[in-house]
Formats: sequence, structure tokens, C-alpha cells
Amino acid sequence: MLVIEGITKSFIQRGIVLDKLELSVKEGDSIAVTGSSGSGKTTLMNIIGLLDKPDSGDLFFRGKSILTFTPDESALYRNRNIGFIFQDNLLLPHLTVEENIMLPLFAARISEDEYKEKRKYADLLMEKTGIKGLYGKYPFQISGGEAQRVTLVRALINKPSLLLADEPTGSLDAKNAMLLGELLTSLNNETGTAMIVATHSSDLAAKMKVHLRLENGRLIP
Amino acid sequence: MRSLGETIRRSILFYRKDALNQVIIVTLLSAIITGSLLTGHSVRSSLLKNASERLGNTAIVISSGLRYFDASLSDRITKQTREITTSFLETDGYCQNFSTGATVLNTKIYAITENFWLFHRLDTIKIVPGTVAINSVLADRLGVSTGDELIIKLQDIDPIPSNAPFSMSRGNDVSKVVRVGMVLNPDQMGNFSLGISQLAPLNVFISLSDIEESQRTHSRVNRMLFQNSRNLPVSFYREALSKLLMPSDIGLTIRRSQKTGETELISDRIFIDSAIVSDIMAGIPSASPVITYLGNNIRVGSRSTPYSFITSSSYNAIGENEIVISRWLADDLDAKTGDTLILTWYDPGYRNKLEEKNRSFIISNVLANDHPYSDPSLMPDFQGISGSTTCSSWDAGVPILMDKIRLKDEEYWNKYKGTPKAFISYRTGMKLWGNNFGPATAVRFPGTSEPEEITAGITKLLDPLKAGFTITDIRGKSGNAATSGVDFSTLFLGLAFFIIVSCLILLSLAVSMFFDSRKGQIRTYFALGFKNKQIRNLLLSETMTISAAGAITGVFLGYFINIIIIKALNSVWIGAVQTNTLSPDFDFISLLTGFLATMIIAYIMLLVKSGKFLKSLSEKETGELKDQSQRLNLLFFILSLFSWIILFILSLVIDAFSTALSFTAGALAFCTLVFALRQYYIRNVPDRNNIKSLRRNLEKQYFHFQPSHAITPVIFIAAGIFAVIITGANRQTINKEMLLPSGGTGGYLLWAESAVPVRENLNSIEGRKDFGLDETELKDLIFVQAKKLFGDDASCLNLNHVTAPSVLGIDPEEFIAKGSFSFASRIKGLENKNPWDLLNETPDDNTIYGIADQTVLEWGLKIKVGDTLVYRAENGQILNIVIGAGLKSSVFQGYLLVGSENFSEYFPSVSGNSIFLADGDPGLSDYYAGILSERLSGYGISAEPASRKLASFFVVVNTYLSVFMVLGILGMVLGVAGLGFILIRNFNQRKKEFALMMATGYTTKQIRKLLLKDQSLILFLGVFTGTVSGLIATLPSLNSGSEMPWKIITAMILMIIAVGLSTILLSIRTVRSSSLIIQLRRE
Repeated sequence: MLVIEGITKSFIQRGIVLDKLELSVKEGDSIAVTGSSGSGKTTLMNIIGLLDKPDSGDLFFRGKSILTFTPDESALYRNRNIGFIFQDNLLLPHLTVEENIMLPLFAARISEDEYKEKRKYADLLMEKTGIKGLYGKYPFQISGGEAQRVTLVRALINKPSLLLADEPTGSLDAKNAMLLGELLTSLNNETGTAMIVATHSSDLAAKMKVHLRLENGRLIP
Repeated sequence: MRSLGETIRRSILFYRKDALNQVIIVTLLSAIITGSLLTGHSVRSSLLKNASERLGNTAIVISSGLRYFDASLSDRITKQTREITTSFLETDGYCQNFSTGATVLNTKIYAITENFWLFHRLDTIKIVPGTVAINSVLADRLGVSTGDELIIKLQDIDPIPSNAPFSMSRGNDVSKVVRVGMVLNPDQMGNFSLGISQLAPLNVFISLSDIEESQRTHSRVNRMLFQNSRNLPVSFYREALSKLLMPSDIGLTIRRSQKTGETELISDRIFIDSAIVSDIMAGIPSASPVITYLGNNIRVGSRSTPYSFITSSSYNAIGENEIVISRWLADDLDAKTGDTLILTWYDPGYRNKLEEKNRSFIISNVLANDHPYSDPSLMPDFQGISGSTTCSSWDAGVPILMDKIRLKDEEYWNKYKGTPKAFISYRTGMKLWGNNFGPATAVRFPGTSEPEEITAGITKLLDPLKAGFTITDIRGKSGNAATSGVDFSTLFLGLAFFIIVSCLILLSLAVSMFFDSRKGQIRTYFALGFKNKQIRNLLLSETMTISAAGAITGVFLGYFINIIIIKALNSVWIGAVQTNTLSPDFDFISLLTGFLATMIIAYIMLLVKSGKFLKSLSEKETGELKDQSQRLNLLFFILSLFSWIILFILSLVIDAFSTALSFTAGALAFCTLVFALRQYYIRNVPDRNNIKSLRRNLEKQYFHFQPSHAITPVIFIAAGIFAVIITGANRQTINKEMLLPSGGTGGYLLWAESAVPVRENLNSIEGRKDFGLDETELKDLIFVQAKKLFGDDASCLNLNHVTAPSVLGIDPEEFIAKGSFSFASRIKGLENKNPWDLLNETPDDNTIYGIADQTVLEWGLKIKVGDTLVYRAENGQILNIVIGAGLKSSVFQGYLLVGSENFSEYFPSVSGNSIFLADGDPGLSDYYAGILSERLSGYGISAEPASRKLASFFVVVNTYLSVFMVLGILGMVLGVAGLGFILIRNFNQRKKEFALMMATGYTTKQIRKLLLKDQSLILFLGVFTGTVSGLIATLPSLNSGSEMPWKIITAMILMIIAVGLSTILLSIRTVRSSSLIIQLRRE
């Protein structure tokens, strides 16, 4: 599904962060990417999600090179195929939980029927993740763990092919971190959504099917 | 949640603090724009109201200009048109308080009937004979009230101009003592005026019968007003006038000669206008023009006959050099056919100086004394002659040497009266005696024509326009003048420039901060697959909603700003408008325009900023910080430094261009200081062994990569101070240069104006003797005199747009000899010619050159050199005045100057001079002024230093400069307050930096001190840069004695520093350790 070929990325202050990195992700894969701080995990996530561009190399999604996408094509790619979970959940503070979850739907035109269908799916996901009762609440009214689960539902609402989670449990306590990890695993099994999880947490990494280390700019099994 | 509106509403509520900042700024911007637009509208509507108040129910005016017509014409036109009319006499003069002697010049005197008040629906106002009504402004100036006595002096209203040939010796004025019967308010038509100006006139209303009695005239008027209730076009009135105008209305009489049986046309002006004579000759082929003139002497050999009338006509076939004499004359001169006869007469020229001319003729025939053409009615009805019983009692307006009149001359007069003693051809007579008043004293028709027939024929031929009538849609004209006058909307938008710029800068900063605070949000939108366009639309929708809230609030606040500005214009800024009758006016269009303009400005700014912001987010992240080129900056610094020094030295050396050079030097000094400052920030060479140097470098390191964050506020503060200083230095005051001949005073000591024209030439021996100006102390006193045709004031003191300024007829020879005045522009193709020489030229038929002040051309008349102003000459023909040159600021502001010869040709009835420039011994200037005021007091003269006259025009410009300074200072203060924004923004951008400093041991207090130091330095550098460069730019003005408003500038600088420091201190209080610690956790 996703093939990364020889991606290199450097920063002036940090030097080479990704050095001819290679990765192949199939449908249903769950990959943990671990590495020390500053190793380039977030950079890798940003590149895969077309939020940043590499200095060289290529990126193929379902056989098509996506680095040449225009900004609109990149946006569409993210909306349809990618789900993001950030460490700082990045919920919009002035929207309710329900509205934050439905937000990706407003990026593209959908019909009334599609909306109803998505709504049902959102209900299902919220039930699954144990946050159904939070519909009308605002982000400042829920806990960090709940917020991260909201982020998860939001990321999955469009049934993406690939979920990118950058330190999803970084801001959570152990209990919520474990809960989130289990959710990720079960969703991967049930929906077949591939996921790449960048994490420091060995517990979370252990739950993923594949564990890769990002060292010296490359992914090492 | 499905709607965009709901998202926007929630977002605005959540980020309401940021939103409020934007609302406040946009409110201010909108208020200033709308306030300026409403001010322009209020001034226009006030001028319209003023015009309406002045005109009352007047819509159409028929005027006979400098001439008069019979009041019965008004009655006939009323019947014909079925429109309500009134007619009256308008003239000029002056008033004096009988008790105190307080004098007010430039008074309008309206001799009216009761019908005038009925016309304006003021039935209750009546003027009792022997009393007058005056307007409240005049009453205040004179210090009189009802019952007090006044002396009124008005211009003579005799149809025969006092400077016409053989006009009786008489003064140019009529004096009356009257009692004030009523003091009229504006709503009682007290401020009635047909002129175009917002200045309150000084009016006297007197009963027409009182004037007629004192003038021994009957029903003579010169203005007719119509209400035009049916909104008929001007052409309707023109046609009615054409149909109804009769010869008798304009002083033409048709009578039969008892001697010859011929019908003849004569005029109460003695000479008949050339246009009328031409039309009659063309329309009635049998018509024959005649000029009968008084000869001083007729001589044949050693014998001579004094003071005889000679007729030039087409009778007989008299050759050009031939003369036919009567038997009486032949006997008196012992002359016969073939003898040479010398005829002597006074030239009927316009110069008012008597010049005797003579010519020789050959006697071709001697007529019997009872010859048919020995017709006493050929002598014109000269007032001072025809009623006399003896020759010695003649008042011919010229010197009559009584010792030359013999007994036989008296006997001739007794028997034959003014029967001509000699005849020449009309062609010859035209050459000798034709003058500006007309080419004929009579037009004769064969004896077979009946007077009634001739009357009917002439009536058909009469063209009102050629008879000197003008028909004007005065209401429309006044309305146009009011609405196309000085545009206060644009003016105040310009004057409020700094406030508007401050608002834009603050808005830009507020928007930047708004976007910065949404970075995380925007990142989410990106991550969720929102397109750039969608994100941009979301941002724009939110910010535009905020702007709309501000814009709406602002337009209503703008109405209050308008009220404040109008109040100021009526009081402290009255110098700009010369009236306190302006009133604020509500206008929906102005509000809408203000709202839309604000929204457009906000939209453009938000569009650009959001685009840049999104672009910056979507660009490849490299972590790169842009380093600034020190070499390039150093190069610019050196270049500007040298340029500044060179230009500054040149400005001190080259007087002619010192102002321009010093201004440029000041601007370059500004640039030099800015580059120097930039160099300070981007330079990066700390002494690593010196902790002080290291610390200093650390403190300014932020600006190393972002020098614009320091330079921009410096430039803004400095530019404002620079502009205010150069504005202050450019206040117009009288300096040495203006007193030179090339300056605005023309090198003359005094400017004098008289309410009643002075006929005599004050430079002539006779004139000086007449007025007691022939004393030894006054030997150096000389005059340049000008005749004046009243029109509208075209100076900067009149807010209305005028098209027919007052015209002065001036002899430019004195100016040419003295090198007086300077020119700002000259007509194309004649740049090498002295413009004054143009005044005596006539480039085409009925076309002359005129000169006016450049300011008047550009701002008052809105024309340029080469354009043409169209006037009507006194006899109704079109007169084109081509603008030949524009004067640099001079005492003649408001007037159009033409050559005196041309003036007299087209306006011969203006019989004296009303404007005087006097020169002499500078040490006796006050003495001269006193002498003139005393010796010409009967003419209502006022004399003042020419420099004071010139300075009176500066009040408008200086007031505008004061307004600019005040608003500029407000804008500066506003901008400085915006430093707080910059501070907060800088702080937000440097949060991580400060967090790290805290982690290494810096206290919050130390961080606040660092920020205070940074921002205070920027503030003081801005003040320093602006002040130093402003002073450099204005050094020559200061050296030449220009008065700098030091107090205002010092107050401004102190206010900027005070507000700036206060803002900085308030802003750094937001620096708290708690907000910084959060940054640490994230690492």
C-alpha cells in the first residue's frame, strides 16, 4: 500500500535526520517506530502525511508517486487515506467533541446520506472507545485520555487506509495509555486499517505487529 | 454543526480577546474614514443651505450688469410669464455709524420695493421711507441697533458713466443719512446675496423710492428675480425678455426732429453701444449713425471760434479731409470754401487724462444758418450742458476756459443752442471720436419713417444679451458651486493620513497575532485534508466577520467624529473655512461608503496576510533562519551618509534650491540613521572574552535574524515625527523674500481698497492736488491703480467653486519696470515673454489675456494656464479671457488681472479705480496709510501693509497644517500604543527562548527588564531618528525666520515617549513565569 524509497531529509540545525530511509506498509499492518528524541520519528510521520517534503527519495501510495501532488491533491490524499493522531491532540477548543469528530467531513463535499452513514459510524466508534457520553462537551471539559480517544475517532471517521499516530500516549497516564494502546490494536484487527505508531513507549510498541527502530536515519528491525 | 456561520461565531466567542483587539482597531479606521466622508458631506450641505438662505425664493436672475433698465419691464415680464418676480437696484458702497464713526466697507446696498419681501414670503417686513434694514452681521460690525443713525455712501447710479466723454463733473458716490429701521436675521433674508461665497455679506436694504428721490431718477433697476415655480428652463425667460424688451427699457428714446422731420434714436447714456448700432444698421438699411462732439477750438488762419459742436454724419458726400461749415462760423472765421480749418478737441480716450488733439480739414462748403441740417437736436443731451442758459455755466466734465467765451458765443447759444457749426463725414468722425462707450450719439432715419414704425423695427432687432442682459439659473449655479467646491472628504482623509496608517499597521499586527495563535488549529485542518482554499476561506470569514463588526460600529462613531470636526471648524479651525455656520449632516451614502471602504481595506489586508501565512506553513521546513547581508547594508549606509552630507552642504550654499536640497538631505539623513540602526542589529561580533559584550549580543540576537521587528517601529515613529516637523516648518509666514519686488507683495508697501471708485489718477498732478497728496513728505508716494469689475471671490477664503472671479484692469508697465511679482506657470509657446506684456495684447477678436494667482487657478477655478474664462462684456458681447500666466502667491489672490486698456474697452462704465498698490519711503509706510485713510475717506478707503494682505491668505493653509499636525500627532500616539502589540507578538515568538533562559536561571524580573530595554531603545531610536532628520530637513526654513511651533513639537515628542513607555510597561506585565514553564514541559 505505502512504499517509501530512499527518503532523505536534513535540517540545518540537526543535520541529516532521515538517510535514504526505506519502508513498505501493507494493508492491515501495524508498525511501531521507536527511537531516541530527535531521531526523526515526527519528521517521518510528517513526510508520509505530506505535511513536509523530503530532500530526496520517493513515496508511493498504492503504486502512485505522491510527492509530486499539488497542495489540493495532498489535502485530498490526507482526507481520504490518512488519519492523524498527535501527541497534543489538537482538538479545536471552540468545537464540541461531536463537532471535532465530524470536522474531517467538511473538508470534502458529501451527500446527506453519506453524512448519516458517517454519523452512525462515528457513534459506533465512540461507543467502542467509551466516549459516547461526551458528544456535547468541549475539549476543556474532558480529560486528556478522553481527548486522545476523541482524536482517534476523528482520525478514523473517513475510514482511512493508514493511521499515523505520533506519540499518541505521550501525554497520557499509564492507565489511559494502556487503554489507547488496546484500542489501536483492536481497531487494527477489526477494521484492517494499517497504522504506523511513533512512540517511546515499549508497551505500546509491543502491541504492534512490527517493531522498527529509527537509528541514524534508517529503520532497523 | 453544519453551518460555517456557527463555526465562525463559536471561534470568535472563544478567541474574543483577540477579536476585540481587531474590532477596536477596525472601529477606529472605519470611524476616521466615515468621519472624513461625513465632514465633506456636511460642508457641502452647509454650503448648499447657506446658498439657499442667501437666495430665498430666487431661482432665476435677469441682470443688466453695470447698466440699468426700467422697472416696468419687470411688470411686463411678470404678466407674460405668470411667474412671481421682483426687481431692485443693487449697488456697492460703505456704511458709517453716525455716532461713533465706525466704518464698514464692502457693503451691498439693495434699493428695493415692498414686492421684494412679498417675493420671499416675508409679508411682515416693511421699510419705512427714511429708514433702512440692515443684516445682523453689519449691525454687529457697526455697533448699531434699531433706531440708530447711519451714513450710507453708495456708488453713483447715473446711466451716464462718470468717465464718459462730457459727463458732468460729479463725485462717484451718493451719500445719505438714514435711521436703522430693522436688523434682519438670516431667516429674514438678511444675508440675501446673488454672489457665491460662504462669507456673510454686509447688507443694507433701502427703499427704491428713497434712492430715486435723491438721484432724480425714476424706476431704474438692474436686477430682476424669478421664483420659477414651474421649473422652466432659462431659455424660456430669455425668449420672454427678447419679446418684451423695448428701447425705452434700456434708455433708448425715439423721437422726431422738428427741424428735419427725421426720426432719430438717442440714448440716455449719450453714446449708443456698438452692438446696437451694428444691429440697427444691418436691420434697417436706411439708418444713418451720427456723432456730435464738442470741439475746443476751430481756427482758420489767425481767427478762431471756441467750444463749438461738430456733427459727423452721412449727410451729403463729405470727403474724408473735408469739412462743411455754417454761415455763422464762416463769418466768424472769415473763412471760405477751400480754406484750411484746424479743429481741436479733447481725445475721448479711456485714460481719463485729457489730451488735446487737432486735425486740419479743407472747407468744402458753407451752409446757410437755416440749412435743414443745422438742427439743435443733433447736440446730445449732455446733462451739464443742455440745461444751461449760458455757455459759461456749462459743466462739460472737461475744463472750459471761460475767458475764451465771447459775447457772440453766448448770443449763439441763446439763439441756436447746440446747433452744430460744422459737419464732417461719419467715417472721419468715427476715427476721431468713436470710443468705448459707442460709435454714435444718435441714429437717424429718413423723414418718411414714422417713429412708431422705427420703434417697432428696433424693438424686433433688440437682443437682450447685446444690450448687456444676462439670465442666470442662480439656484443651479449656486448649488453647483457649493457641491463642487473644496472637497473636505479628501482633505480630511489626507490630513488623517497618520491615523489611517497607524490603524493599518495595528490591524496588520493584530491579524498576524491572530494567525499565529491559530497555528495549531491550521495544522489540524491541514492534517485532516482541508484544502488551502478552504482553510483560507475559514480564516477570512472569521476575520471579515470581526472586521464587519468593527466597521459597523465605526461608521456610527464616525458620525460623532464628524460632529467634533464641524465644531472645530466653526471655532478653533475657523481659519480654514472663514465661517461658523457649518453644521453636521447625516448621510447614508457616506456611511455606506465608509463601511465598504473599511471592509475592502480589511479584505485586501486579510487576503494578503492569510495567503502569506498559509504559504509559510506549507513550505518545506528546513529550520533555516535567514541571515542578513551586512555588506549590503553597510554599502547602503555609506552611500546614504555621503549623499546626505553633500546635499546638506549644498543646501547651505545654494540659496535658490535650499528648501528642496535640505528636504532631500533630511530624508537621506533618515535613511542613514535607519541603515546604521540596522547595522547595529545585524552585526554579530561579540568579544568572547568580555561577558558584558556577550550578554549584550545575547540580548539583541533575536533581532539579528529579525531586524524588521526592530526597524519597522523605528521607521514608523521616526516618519511621523519627521512629517510633523516639516509640516510645522512649512507654515506660511511673511519673510524677507516676500517683501522684495519678486515676492508676493511685488515690493509695494501698501494695499488699499475703496468702496467707491476713485476717478482721478492719483499719480497725476491734478489728482494729487485734488486729494492733498502733493505735500513734500508724500513726494515718493506712487500708486499702481486698478479698476474692478465685481465677481465672486476666487481666493482660498471661498469654499465654493467659482467660475467668474472679480476682474482687475491694471497697467502692467510699472510691474515690468520694477520686476514685480513672480510667475509659477506661463502659457505654452510664450515662456520667453514677460507675462505682464501679454496683458496689453489681444490674441483674437474679443479675446484678451489674463493673469491670476496659481493657487486660484488650481484650487479656486480648477483651470490651468492656457484655459479660457468666458465673460460677458458690458455691451453683452462674449469676452474670452485666456489665462496667460499663474502668479506665485501674491496679494492679488482672488482676482483675475487684465490690461487696463482692454478692461476699459469691454467695461467702459467702470469709472474709477478701486484697488491701489502704494510704494514710497518704507519708513513712512504707516504715515502713508494714515494719509490715504484721511484724504480718501469719502471713498470708503482702507489701507493696510501689503505684507498683511498677503499674510491673510496664509490662514487657510496654516490652519490645514495645524489640523494635519494635530491629527498626525494623534496617529503617532496611536501607533506608539501599538508598540504594545509588537511587544506581545515578539514575546509570543520568543517564548521558548525565554523559557530556556528561565531554565538556566534567569528570573521573570530579568526577562521583563530585557524586554523593557529592547523596546525602550526602539522607542527612543525612533524619536531620535525622526527629530534629527526633521530638523536637518527644515534648517533653511528655520534660518530664514520661519516660525517653528516648538511647543507643539516638544509636547508631541514627550507624549509619544510617555505613551510608548506606558504601553511597554503595561505589556511586559503579561510576561509571567507560569506561561513560560508550559514551554519547558513540551521539550
